[in-house]
Amino acid sequence: MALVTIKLFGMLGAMAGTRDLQLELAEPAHLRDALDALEARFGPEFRQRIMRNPRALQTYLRIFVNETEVTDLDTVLQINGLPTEVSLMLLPAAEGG
Amino acid sequence: MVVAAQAPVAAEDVWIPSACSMCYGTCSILGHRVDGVLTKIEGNPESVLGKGRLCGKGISGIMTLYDPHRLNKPLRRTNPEKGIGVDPKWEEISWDEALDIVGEKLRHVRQDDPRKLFIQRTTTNTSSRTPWQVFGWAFGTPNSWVAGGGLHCGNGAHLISGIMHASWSVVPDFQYCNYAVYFGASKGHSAGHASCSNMGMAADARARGMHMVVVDPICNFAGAKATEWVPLRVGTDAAIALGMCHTLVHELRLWDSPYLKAKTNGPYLTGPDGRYLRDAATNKPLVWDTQTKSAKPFDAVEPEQMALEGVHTVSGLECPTAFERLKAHLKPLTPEWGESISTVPAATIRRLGQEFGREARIGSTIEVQGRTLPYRPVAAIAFRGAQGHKNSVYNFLAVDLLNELVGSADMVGGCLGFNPSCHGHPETGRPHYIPYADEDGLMITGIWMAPHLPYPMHEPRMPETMSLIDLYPMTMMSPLMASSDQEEMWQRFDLPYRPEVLLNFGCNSLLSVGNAETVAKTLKRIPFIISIDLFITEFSEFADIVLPDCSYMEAHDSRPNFPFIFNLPGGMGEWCWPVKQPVVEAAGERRESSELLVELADRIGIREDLNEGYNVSMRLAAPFRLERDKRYTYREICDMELKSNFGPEHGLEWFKQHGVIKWPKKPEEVYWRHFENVRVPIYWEFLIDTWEQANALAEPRGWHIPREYYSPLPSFLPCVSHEETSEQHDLYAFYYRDAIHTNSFTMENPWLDETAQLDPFSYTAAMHSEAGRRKGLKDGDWVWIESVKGRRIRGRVHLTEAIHPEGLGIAACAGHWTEAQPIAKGKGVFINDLLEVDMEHSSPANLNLDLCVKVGVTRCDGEWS
Repeated sequence: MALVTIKLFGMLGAMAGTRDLQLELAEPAHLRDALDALEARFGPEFRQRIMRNPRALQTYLRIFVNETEVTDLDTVLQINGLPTEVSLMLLPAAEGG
Repeated sequence: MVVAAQAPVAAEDVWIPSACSMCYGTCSILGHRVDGVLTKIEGNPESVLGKGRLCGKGISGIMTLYDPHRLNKPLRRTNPEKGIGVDPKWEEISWDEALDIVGEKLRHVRQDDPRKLFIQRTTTNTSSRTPWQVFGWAFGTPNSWVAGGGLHCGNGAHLISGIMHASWSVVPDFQYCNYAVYFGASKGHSAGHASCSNMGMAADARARGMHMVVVDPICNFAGAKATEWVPLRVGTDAAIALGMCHTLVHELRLWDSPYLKAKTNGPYLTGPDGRYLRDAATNKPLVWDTQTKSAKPFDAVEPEQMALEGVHTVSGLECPTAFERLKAHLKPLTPEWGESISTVPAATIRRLGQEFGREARIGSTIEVQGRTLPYRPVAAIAFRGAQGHKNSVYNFLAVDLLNELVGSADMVGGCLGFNPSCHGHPETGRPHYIPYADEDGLMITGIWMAPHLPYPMHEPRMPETMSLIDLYPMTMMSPLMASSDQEEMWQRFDLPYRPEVLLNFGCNSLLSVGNAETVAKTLKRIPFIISIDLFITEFSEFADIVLPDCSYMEAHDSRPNFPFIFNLPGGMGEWCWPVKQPVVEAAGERRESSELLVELADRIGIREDLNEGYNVSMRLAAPFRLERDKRYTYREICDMELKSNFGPEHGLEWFKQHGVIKWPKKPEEVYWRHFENVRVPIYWEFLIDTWEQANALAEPRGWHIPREYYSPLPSFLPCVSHEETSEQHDLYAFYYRDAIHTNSFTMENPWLDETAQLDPFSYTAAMHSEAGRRKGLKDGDWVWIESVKGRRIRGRVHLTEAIHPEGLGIAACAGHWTEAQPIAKGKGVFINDLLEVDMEHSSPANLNLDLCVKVGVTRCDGEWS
């Protein structure tokens, strides 16, 4: 099993009621699997917040795997058993002027 | 005996490089400090941002810094009653007490539901953007806006500049453009984005011989310097632009075929329902391959082999290309049709179309720094005037179609986005961003002012935000933050909470949004309001706590001009990154708001979220990423950003000494469109699904979204004012941005106020002389201006030939009434008080507020005369 640390910042953490959690995912674990696990834990509203449509992430969601930004749902989360941290943050600001 | 007077020798006499914030143009400045006192402000000639130029507002900043009415201590309201003209009965409190109150309120709201925090921020001070966005993300609220900014000026202009040019705004390529058409824009002639830089570049272009046509109801800042002024009925810009497109396509059969094939979705095949025809295996849009005479995915055919025109048979279906649909759409939109809507003679519209096409020199090339590039020295640009209407999206898009047809979008001499492609400083490669393509081949901007990108749009969904931006994905700013029908709409769409705390930075929404009565009602519904500002404003008089802010001459910022798509001048030249630093020490108990937000984050318990927000927002790279649990000052965060971008030797202290860092632009960056494999939509196919999805959510809740605003091709659609039939209300009141003033902020500045009083337009309502004579008015008469809805304002009329006969042009947004700003009080005409703030007066596409009002004008008699 792949052990993945999840960090939920801002609105996602506030809505989930926690900033930190750990997931055990079957290997090979992909980002898609982590998001599925988060949906299973926090309900479909969680997925609605982070997906622009059923196939794509919100443009204002940022996901980092070990501090590297990723956008591909097929990103592999754990390589050679090294610890993996996935952090998610919604940036829901618009701008004008 | 005569003794010569000797001037005292100053112990300190220094010039400090920094950044102006008297408007959002943020030109680079030098502050002259003598013995701790600011004595003069000049432009910084070492910076690209202004190149030493500074406007009247910039040099007047000294009077705002030392204004005796500035706030110096935290204040607490003691009068629980709130309303326009109600005295809050302020009492001074300590910062500790103020922060205890504010911190407790925010902590409670975040634990309850972070969406109940509503953040409101000015755009005038660009340095507030990053700290306030990051604080909002860390807190977890999706509810923020910049009040009138965006709602009035940017929903259409920025959206479409983003989708079509990957930038916040557009300008002519001043160094090479020979023929520019301005639709309700003043770029290079007034204020705003890169204002002093653009003023120099525009002046040089005109001196070089650039032919400049200004299409505008009023002949002021741009029109007065133009080769030709074309007065039009307010809000009808699309009718003229589409008439010009008709002339190009149907009368001249003139368009840039290689550009349209390679850089737009013009060749994409469409089905009977208007959607793209897609490849069954890859889902990619299909084009017609003229060599194999078959439909293939767009990226499997060389552009020159694609059919741009025609109707092609695919699987038994008759499938026109997107360009063929555009041609058919333009067929009835003749110059004569344009005249019937805009009042501009058909012959003028036709001539402008012909001149635009001829001057485009389609097919020509030019060499720029050893690169041979397409040369299209024509530009059609638009801004607030054209898009500040219910037809916001189509007015702007119709204008940009002119650039797309002749292939001048982001080509040499053409219509440029500001700096949407940057390859980074030569030593670090940072900052780095380039537009890129989505799966349909359409362009996604490489950088934006906020993470909510103009394209791709999200699917409409049930609203989670006060703004309903979830339902209206083309929206940036929404009137629902302060509209008369906000509660009705929130109930209709089951918004599961209501705002409980409003945190304001520098906004005066009582003046900047619409009629004050409506805005005041929405403020009274919010239980607790905190305002951080330089002065007590009409808005602050609704606050419970007021905190004194540092002015831009007393504050730090590592990125006053970043992203470059906002304020760095377009075209060849140099990249330039300045900083802002205190020129004098903060007086009284003023605190920098960016430092205050760090303090509040700690009190609320969101330090980790805040630090991660800065890592994300500033794209900080190791080893300059913030540690999540470490307390940083904002100055330290600024230092990290500068080192992250420019290397460890170029931190905040280096920038304080040197002011700016510069490096040369490359043709591959400025004329990126030629080099990058991206397309832009001349046919907005995605709107078909957007409307269907949005309306499917709205209809069951008794709300209809009109389909005509979501057609893939632009049309003229009338404003509410165009459909008013009252004979007493015979003029279209509209507002324009004064070059002397910045929104409602600068009326308190005595130098600018004096200048405005000398100017015949700044504090008056401009009316055509003939209309004035018909009404028996003389220049300078006091008049009542009354809307169809019965809203009434008072002002002095200025009779002039320099306005459309149906227009009433008023500089926004004057009309202060607070006793706390005695210079500003009572000056000018409060046109925003005529604006309805509701869904009826907002665009059903992007919720842009309609800024023109049908009014009647009568002389003030009696006590007001």
